[in-house]
Parts: sequence; structure tokens; C-alpha cells
Amino acid sequence: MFNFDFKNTAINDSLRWSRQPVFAFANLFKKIFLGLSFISFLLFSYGFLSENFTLILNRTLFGAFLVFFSSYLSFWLIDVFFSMRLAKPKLTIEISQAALRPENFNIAEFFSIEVAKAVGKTIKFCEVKGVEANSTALFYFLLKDNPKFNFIFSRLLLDISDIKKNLEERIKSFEEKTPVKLYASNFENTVLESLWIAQGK
Amino acid sequence: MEQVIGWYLSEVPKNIIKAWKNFLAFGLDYFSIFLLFKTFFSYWHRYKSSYGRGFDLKRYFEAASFNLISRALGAFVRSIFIVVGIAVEICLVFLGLAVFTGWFLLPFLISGGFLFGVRLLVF
Repeated sequence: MFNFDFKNTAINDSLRWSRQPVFAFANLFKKIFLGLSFISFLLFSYGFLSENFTLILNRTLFGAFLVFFSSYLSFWLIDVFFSMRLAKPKLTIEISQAALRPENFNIAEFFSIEVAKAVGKTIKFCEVKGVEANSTALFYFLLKDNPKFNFIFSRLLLDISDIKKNLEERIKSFEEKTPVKLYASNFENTVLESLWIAQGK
Repeated sequence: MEQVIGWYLSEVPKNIIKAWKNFLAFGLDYFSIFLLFKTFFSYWHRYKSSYGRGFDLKRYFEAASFNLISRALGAFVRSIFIVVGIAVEICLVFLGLAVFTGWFLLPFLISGGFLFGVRLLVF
């Protein structure tokens, strides 16, 4: 039996947390404030060393630098908290135990946040389409949101954008039918195979 | 909130200490400080002169002086690496200490920096 309850997992809670604006935009704001603090510091340094700026302007630039840099550090802390704590919930069981008897454990518990995102999107997409969640949709959503794959595909001399396009066309052409079960057997096999590979790592 | 405090005050400091230990262990291993102490007076690059058979005073002094210089050279070069290694380890100790205390001071530094920055901007 395929024991897979994605909705009742800690990683799904993490996904919900990741949609909160404070976490969703932390990385973006972190980059923006780092850029702003860098620019304001450069301007301040130029004004301070060349003495071309007035004292008030230099003071303002240094104040702006402090505000931007403190904001950058705050968003950095939020981002680190999310990626260290929320995105990696503590597992109560070892993956090796689950690999031995996958039917006794909820395999969805072992997903990383990136895979959980892709699985969540796959399930939602297939629900809307009225089909069983399958490995084609999973593959598409995994490729779509993970730029890390670009490197692997480029090393394999495969055109990732072409593959994505083909997969997109394929999943859009899914025909609605009454699903016999929630997950197609190819989806189940993919998840189980990944579990066995992951526990060997 | 409980999770945030637990993470900030317990989980991350533990990780910092772990990383700190790793860096220190790496430094010791990289400079082979203990091994250098153990082999401190060993020959330099195993350059060793044989005393040969029989008793030949000239050859004996030649070999003895060569071996003494080889050992002295070995000890000299090793002592440089030991000093550099220990200096690096001391730097790592202070760096780790700075990171560790900096982590606890970070919220105060952030809020202090922000308020001071606003003060400079507004007043």
C-alpha cells in the first residue's frame, strides 16, 4: 500500500509558512537592502574621503547606510530562520527505517521544501484537471521551479527549456476523466524509487 | 515565537560551536601540528648520511655533522610551520569567539544601528 498523506506533513506546514509575505519576500528584500546599503556606503565613502559633499549630506548618507544595512541584516535573519528551521522540520523517524517498510510510514514527510513545492503544485494541478497525480506533472513542476537542474541538464547536453515546453504541452493536454485513485502508479513508483535512492545517500 | 527563540538561543549557537570546532580541527590537521611535534627532530626530507662499516673517524664526523644539520634544518622548518599553525589556530579561536558573541549581540546591533541611522536621517 502506498502511504502518502501530503496534507498532514510538517513540510506542508513549512510550505504554508513560506507563503507568508514575511518569508516569501525576505530573500528579495534582503537583496534589495544589501544593494542599497552598498550604494549608500560607496556614496558616503566618496563624500567622506573626497570632502566633496556637505556634512549634512554625508550624515544623511551614513544614516541611510545604517538603516539599509540593519534592514538587510533583519531580512537575512528571517531568511536564515526560514531555511534552517522552518524549511527543514525535524523528522521523528529515520529515512532508512521508512525505506525498509514504506507502507508503514508517511513518505511525504521526507520531502525537501523544493520537492514539497513541486508535489503540492502537481497535486493541485491534477485535481483541477481531474486526473490522477502523475510523474509527468511532477517532473514538469520539479523542472519549472528548480534552477539547480539547469546545471545537470547542461552537463548532459539536454535542452531544459525544450523539455519543459514539451512537458507543459503534455500536461495541458491531459484529458479529464474520473480518477480511480489519487496518485497514478508512475507517481507512486517515482516517489518510492526516490526514497530508496535518498536513503542510500 | 517559542520556535524562534529556541532556534536563536539554542540551535544556532550549537551549530556555531560545531563549525568552530571543525575549523579548529581543520587547522590542526592542515598544519599537522601534532605530527610536527612528534617528528620535530627528524631528518629534513630523510636526508641522512650513513656511518658505514668499521671505524673511520673522519667519515664518522662527516656523517654526524651532516645528520645534525639535517635534523636542525628539519626542526627549524617544522618550528616555522608549528608557529604559523598555532597563530592560525589562535586567530580561529578569536574569530569563532567574535562570531559566537556577535550572534547574541546581533539583535541589539540591528536595532541600535537602525535607530541611530534614523536619528542621523531625521535630526
